[in-house]
Amino acid sequence: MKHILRRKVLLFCCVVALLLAWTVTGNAAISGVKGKTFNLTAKSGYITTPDGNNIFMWGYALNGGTMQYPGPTLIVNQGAVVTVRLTNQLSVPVSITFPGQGEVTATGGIPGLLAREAPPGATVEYQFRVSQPGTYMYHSGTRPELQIEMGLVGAIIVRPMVGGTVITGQAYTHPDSQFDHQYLFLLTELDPHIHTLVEQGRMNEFNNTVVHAEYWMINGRAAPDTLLATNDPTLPSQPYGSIVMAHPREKVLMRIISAGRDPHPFHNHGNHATLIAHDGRLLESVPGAGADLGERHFTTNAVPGETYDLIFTWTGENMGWDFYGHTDPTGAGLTGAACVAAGVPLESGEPLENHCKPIPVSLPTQDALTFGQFYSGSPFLGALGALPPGEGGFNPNGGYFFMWHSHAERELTNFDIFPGGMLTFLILEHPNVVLSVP
Amino acid sequence: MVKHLIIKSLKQILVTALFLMGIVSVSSALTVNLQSGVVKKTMPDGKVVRMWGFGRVGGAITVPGPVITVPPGDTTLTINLTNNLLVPVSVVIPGQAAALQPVWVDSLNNLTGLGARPNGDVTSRVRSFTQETAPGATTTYTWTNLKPGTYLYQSGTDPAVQVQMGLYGALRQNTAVNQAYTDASTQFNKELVLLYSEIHSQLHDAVALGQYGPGTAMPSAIHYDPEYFLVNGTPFSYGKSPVPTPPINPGEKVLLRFLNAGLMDHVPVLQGPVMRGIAEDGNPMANQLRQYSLYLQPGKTKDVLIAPAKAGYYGIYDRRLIGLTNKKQAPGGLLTYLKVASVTQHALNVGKAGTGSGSVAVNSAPGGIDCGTNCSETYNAGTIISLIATPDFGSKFIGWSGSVSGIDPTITVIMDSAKNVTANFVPASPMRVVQPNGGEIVLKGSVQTISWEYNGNPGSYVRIELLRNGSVYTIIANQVPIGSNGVGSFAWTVPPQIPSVGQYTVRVISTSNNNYKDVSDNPFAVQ
Repeated sequence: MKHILRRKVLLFCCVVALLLAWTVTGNAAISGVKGKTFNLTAKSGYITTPDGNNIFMWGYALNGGTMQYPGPTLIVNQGAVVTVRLTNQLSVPVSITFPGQGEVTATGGIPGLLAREAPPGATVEYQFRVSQPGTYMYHSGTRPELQIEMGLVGAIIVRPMVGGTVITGQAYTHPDSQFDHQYLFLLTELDPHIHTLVEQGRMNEFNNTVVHAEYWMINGRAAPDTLLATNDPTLPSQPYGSIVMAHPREKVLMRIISAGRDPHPFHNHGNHATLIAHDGRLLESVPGAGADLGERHFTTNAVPGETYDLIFTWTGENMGWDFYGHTDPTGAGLTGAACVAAGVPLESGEPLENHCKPIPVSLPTQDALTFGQFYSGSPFLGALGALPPGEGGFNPNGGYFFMWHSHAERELTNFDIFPGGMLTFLILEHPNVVLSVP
Repeated sequence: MVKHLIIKSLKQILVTALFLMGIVSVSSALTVNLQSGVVKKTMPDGKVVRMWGFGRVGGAITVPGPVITVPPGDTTLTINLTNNLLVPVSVVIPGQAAALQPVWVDSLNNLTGLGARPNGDVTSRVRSFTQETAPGATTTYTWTNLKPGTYLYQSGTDPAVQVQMGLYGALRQNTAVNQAYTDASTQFNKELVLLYSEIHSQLHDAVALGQYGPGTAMPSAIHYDPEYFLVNGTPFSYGKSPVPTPPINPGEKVLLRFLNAGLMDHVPVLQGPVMRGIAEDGNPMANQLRQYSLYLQPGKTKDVLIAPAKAGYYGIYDRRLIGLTNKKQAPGGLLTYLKVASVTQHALNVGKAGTGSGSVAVNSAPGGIDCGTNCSETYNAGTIISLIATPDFGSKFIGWSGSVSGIDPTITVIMDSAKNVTANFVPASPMRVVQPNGGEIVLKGSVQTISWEYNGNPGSYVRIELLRNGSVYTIIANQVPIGSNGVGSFAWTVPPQIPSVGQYTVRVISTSNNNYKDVSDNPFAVQ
């Protein structure tokens, strides 16, 4: 709770109008393209950053469409034989490698060092069987130290199958991986100087040992653009948002992909999360044991090239007060089961021990508060309170905001300006607020 | 050698038998005579780095030092270190218990104590983690309670400098023959050591010139900016063969011992077979997790098992990306291949012919040829490789002959039989456009550098032409000074009005001798 009060003062004033879109609808799922056969095109384009920069990129486009960063999230089913056809519209050879996918066969193009490559204008086709469910990535296998930086990277999600049926709401075949909502956090960083060199045809000046990132991204966007909706029309080459929405007690699957070159300590506020899988493998002591080796923590050291799956649940436990604002109707100070018996039912996911416990402070008057756009005017979940004219407005449902971000604080900047970078929010909403289903 | 092995295994059997019978508690000892000294390493881009390294007495100094293999069951290791450097050195093995004798010095590097910190002394610093070997001297280091596993041995003296300089190596010990640790799940058929390290050449240059240390151009090792990244002492280049020994056969269990003697973290990613982690820092894992990547921090050792089912070449690359070049040269660094041998192998022999000169390299997995000097390699049957011919300055490539034919400098060769391939070079214009040379995207209105190289005496001036779709579109400049010392350049303001559609190249031609001319190898784009 301390965090809510502290963080809500962040002022993301540049996105006023756009924020209203997601606060109402949300996108409680991972956006991507489902299927077995994918046609990708490597091409150039531009992304924008919240500080107004335009950055030249290379990216994978879907079906010859717009260059996008990161590339399309490929959602496939376990056991499928996946075909990825890559057509190269860049002026340098490119390719794709699929870490963790075992044997990949390739046709077309020319042999390369880590994958068969498509020379400029050519097409190469990759095929592999996805034997294991989980979270994976794909990226260029050609000069990866340059081409990943330039944007040739994307996510793969393999959905678990049992008996020929996709198990929905589960990341792996074991129920320890059940979730209510799933979100993708593909972490990258970006050194705009390199992009300028490539754009200006000075690629030979690129020095891989001297790279200094200035932007840190989640799903290809730096904050506060991370908070814009998926497929926001103002970000045509950065389709994927990363706002997280959930109700109390719901299981949120965090799929973290560290896709850049630096490790990032990705930190989730609100509650600990349980790391259940790494590199697309459940943390199990023996096959079938479930995530019995799972670790609970609040920072994932996301090492480049690796993937992590975590289950996060906001419980509201140990707060010592009723965050729904229930009060004992008898005035006798009844709490917990006694308050239920007195006719005040529990809300969904509410900890019984806090039921009807009053907030242990006297609420300050308006003239004692500094407001932020995320404050609803009330400390209680789903409640709205009076606000001075012009205050609040980004929190129409009275949700709680928890910042999820890189804990390397310099990564919370856009070209040296705080706040920004690798930062998004969990918005915890009242159970009555409808979130879209994954 | 055979006799030696027999004796060793007999001894092993005897020791094991006695041990199992409970008759006697046996410990055997390994003695290694090591020396330290100077060795020069040439990087793929030509940079010569003067390093310090370990070697066996009577053998060569290498970086990393020789792999020390402790036989299973041995509990004592003795290293007799002879120091052929001009500074004191020592040897420590992080993770192996030993009675250390730290060396304490004052601010003038004068010895103030050995072992415990001198009583009442709060200003002395530790120069060495344990007793030093003075220049020219020999010191014995002993470990009496050895623990199986994978370990780094390294200098314990001024390690901020000496480890960087190259004083490191791998030490390994199995619990039993072909079994890494006590648990039977750690049995294997073959084992490989993959030791990662880095070179910050500025330090080596400074040390060589006596320009390292307080009051010099490089006062400390705090600034660390490595440009070269090595696997078992060698950065990747086309001419380097895949990890060669021992050959792995399909279906065999392979123990990979990863060690990081560098100062940066790396993330080796293995293509193909999944890795099962069995140990970290020589400690067996309670739970052997499967992963395709390995977070390998400085000073770390990690052991994994793989079981590649099919013949092929499996790439291992640094997903941290920093380690994938040799300075600015790509590809390079921490890229290597495991060769899982097929039943049939075929040789590829590359030759060069003609009155010109050049080189031929295998520029696809797994490399192995850079001819140059390394002109033949044996590949798994069916391997498809790409060869690239690069003419020397003043020559040009005119085509392939032998088992293949074609005029494109890049050609694909399928190793379905032994192949002999010859690249033909003839003399060409002693002038070369360096930039733009293809692939660039040039912005209208921007200022672009056009640069060229020449050899000999082309006269005083060049004319620079812009070619669109192969024919002259405009003259960029008429009387441009040729340059000096074989290189010239011109700052070109790209005209805003030229069309974006088209294949653009630049031609540089001497105004007095039109034998001196060259065009960009490939088109660039104008946007």
